[in-house]
Amino acid sequence: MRSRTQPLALVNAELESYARRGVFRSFSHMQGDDQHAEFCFYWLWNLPFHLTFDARRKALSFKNLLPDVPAGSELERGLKALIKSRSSSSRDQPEHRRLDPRRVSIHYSNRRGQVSLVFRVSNGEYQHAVTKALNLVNEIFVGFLNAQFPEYTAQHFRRQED
Amino acid sequence: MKKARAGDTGSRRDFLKQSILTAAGAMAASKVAAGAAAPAAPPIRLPDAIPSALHLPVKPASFPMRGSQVFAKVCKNEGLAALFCCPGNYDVINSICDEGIPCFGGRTEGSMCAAADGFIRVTGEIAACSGTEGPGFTNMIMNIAAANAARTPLLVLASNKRLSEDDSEMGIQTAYQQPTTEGMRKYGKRLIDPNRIYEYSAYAFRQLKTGIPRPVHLDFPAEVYGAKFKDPSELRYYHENSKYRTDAKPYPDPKRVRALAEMIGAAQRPIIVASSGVFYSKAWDALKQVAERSDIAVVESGVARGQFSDSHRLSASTAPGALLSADLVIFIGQYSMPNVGEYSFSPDARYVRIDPDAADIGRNMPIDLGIVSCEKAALESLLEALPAVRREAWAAELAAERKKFEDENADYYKVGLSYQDAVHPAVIAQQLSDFLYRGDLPKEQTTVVAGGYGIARYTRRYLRAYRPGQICNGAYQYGAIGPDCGYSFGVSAAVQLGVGPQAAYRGSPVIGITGDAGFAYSGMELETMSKYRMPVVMIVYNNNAWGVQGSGRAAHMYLFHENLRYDKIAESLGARGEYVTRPEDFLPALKRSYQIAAKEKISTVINCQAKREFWQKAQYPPGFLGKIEPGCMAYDH
Repeated sequence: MRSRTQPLALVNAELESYARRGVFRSFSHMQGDDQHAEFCFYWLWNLPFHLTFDARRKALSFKNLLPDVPAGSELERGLKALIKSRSSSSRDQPEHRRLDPRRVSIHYSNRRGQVSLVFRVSNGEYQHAVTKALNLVNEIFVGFLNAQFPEYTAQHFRRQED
Repeated sequence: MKKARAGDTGSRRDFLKQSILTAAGAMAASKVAAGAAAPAAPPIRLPDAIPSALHLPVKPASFPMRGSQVFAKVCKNEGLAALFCCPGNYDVINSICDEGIPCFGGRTEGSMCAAADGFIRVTGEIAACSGTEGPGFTNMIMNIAAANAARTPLLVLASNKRLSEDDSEMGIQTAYQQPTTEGMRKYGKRLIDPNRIYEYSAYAFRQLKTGIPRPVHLDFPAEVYGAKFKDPSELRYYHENSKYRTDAKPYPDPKRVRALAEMIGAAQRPIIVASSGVFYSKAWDALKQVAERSDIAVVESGVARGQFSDSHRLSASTAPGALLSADLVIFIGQYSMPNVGEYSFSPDARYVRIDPDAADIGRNMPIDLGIVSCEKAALESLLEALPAVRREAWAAELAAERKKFEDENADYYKVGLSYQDAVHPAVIAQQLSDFLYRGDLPKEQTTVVAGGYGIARYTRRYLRAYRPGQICNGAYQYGAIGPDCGYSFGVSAAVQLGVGPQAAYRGSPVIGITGDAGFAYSGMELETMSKYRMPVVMIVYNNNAWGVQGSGRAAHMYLFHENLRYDKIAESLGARGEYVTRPEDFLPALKRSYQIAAKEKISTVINCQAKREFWQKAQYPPGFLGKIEPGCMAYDH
């Protein structure tokens, strides 16, 4: 039988593997208790990212991942469509690009323009959830925002246009 | 300014004397004409002295020689492919010209520097630029920096004051050059000892022809270029080039090649990022064989495109949506490395880097395997170690993503056509693409300089490369948008001469693309294109503004006059002009210009009148476009 701390250890180990491979530039794990932890790392475009894990809720959260996203805006519609397409069982995307909703589900929220993503883990698939969460966030930044919203990207993430 | 010397074929002082006389004559004539009916303007014409000079026989030097001739002889022996310059550094440029190396004289040293860079980027051969000490040299700075960022093996030459006048500010144009290029060159030297001129010429070519290419800067004080040598005994260090440099290349560690072959075998969706090093090592055939042996996708980056054809079933250069699926990324010859997040790959992808310079492997991007090797040698070794594998699902995904990209481009074109009051960039991009690749021309024929800023966000998506050196990536890495006419001149020179991969397309017209902001920096080279009868069709995207927007009190700093006539500037410089204000007029203007370029060797500026509001997505979707790298849209890395 799994111990109560095992999910946190699994999440931590999976994130550490990205740091060891050099994908994250730095990595720190600030543990609140055996049920909560915050992970900080420098990742895309050398920006700091914060990921929290709540073992009780089985939730990985990128809180306030994107600022200044007006509700109902084209940017928000695009984000929601991207998330939907990646968590759908439709064959629009190859299997390796999709999330299996039976293993991990995504919850989008927008509070006063601050977009957060929460990944709820099912069936103890913590490592899988970490991988899929990172891949989706990666795609949002380097694929979706870069291609579709260059000015927003430049404004909020210091990507100089020239 | 230096004193005129016996044996000079022309000096700036001589030229100025002649100009003053001409100007005085013109003023006198204008006084006579005052009050009378204005006479017809004399036609723009090429003086007979230009074709006459171009047809004079070469005059290779032999001992006794001056320092400049010794240097020029080394350039000739090393295969320097061309020199682009403005007057100044007279002894050196005249000596290079006398040796029979193709030489071109333009309007600004900066543009001539860009011309040499462009020439190199589509041929892989070494070219030089030159300017006079002080102003001529410093005019080149932006484009030396651009060449450095692009890792171009560019030979930068400049004259210098007499050593005996060092620090004295005697006369004019005093500049101590070498510190100025520090940080934007591979090697630089102010030649001091005349007897070592051959030795330092060897230093220059050893640096240019080995390792990771970057500019080499030599400056020649008068005592050095003007020194006289009766015979080789007066030169210290005088050997043939096989004694001062080697053509040997670093070969890969076989264990690491086997490890890579295993990684490829274990991967489901491997991809090669084929960059500048593949082009400079002429490794395109080996690249194709490796890709086909194990169904490895190939996406391009770097200074030139075409080392892997966009029409290949394994090409990912126009399949940006597929990049995130790659589980193994093999960088080959990626000299300008992206940082994490700058290339669109998955965080789960494994990375391999093949590069001649061990010291650069691991910079910016993490590696799972590093291989120190010449790119071509690594690919040839890998081919022997790779099993034959078919990855139909991966090839199908690439095909689907290419189609998705083409569909997106087609949608942009439809929207662009709906804007009838100006020429939208999607119209230019799609119709140019149709003309070059889907009309009467062989799709491999035309070499294109993909420059500009906002316009390039569109044209890069629609331009295709089917053979090495077909696209010169203008703004690569440094992001200078101004050198485009300079690049276009140099690229056209390469195509007219048929150098390197341009040989099969010798004589063909070249397409250059720039914006109205960029045109201001190097547009005078339209006169140089006309002078040398270079068939360039220069597309100028004229949106009345810089590429970025200003607002409030600062807005005026970002704007130009509206409806400026860059086509008229071209006409006044001996080239043709076309003015296009409606979408339906672009293609006919392009066809006319291309035909005249091909048949009569006359350049044209097509001034495409757009408007700055096209970058506003809310008002004119799709607005200013984003980009995904690597692939056809890449220019950061």
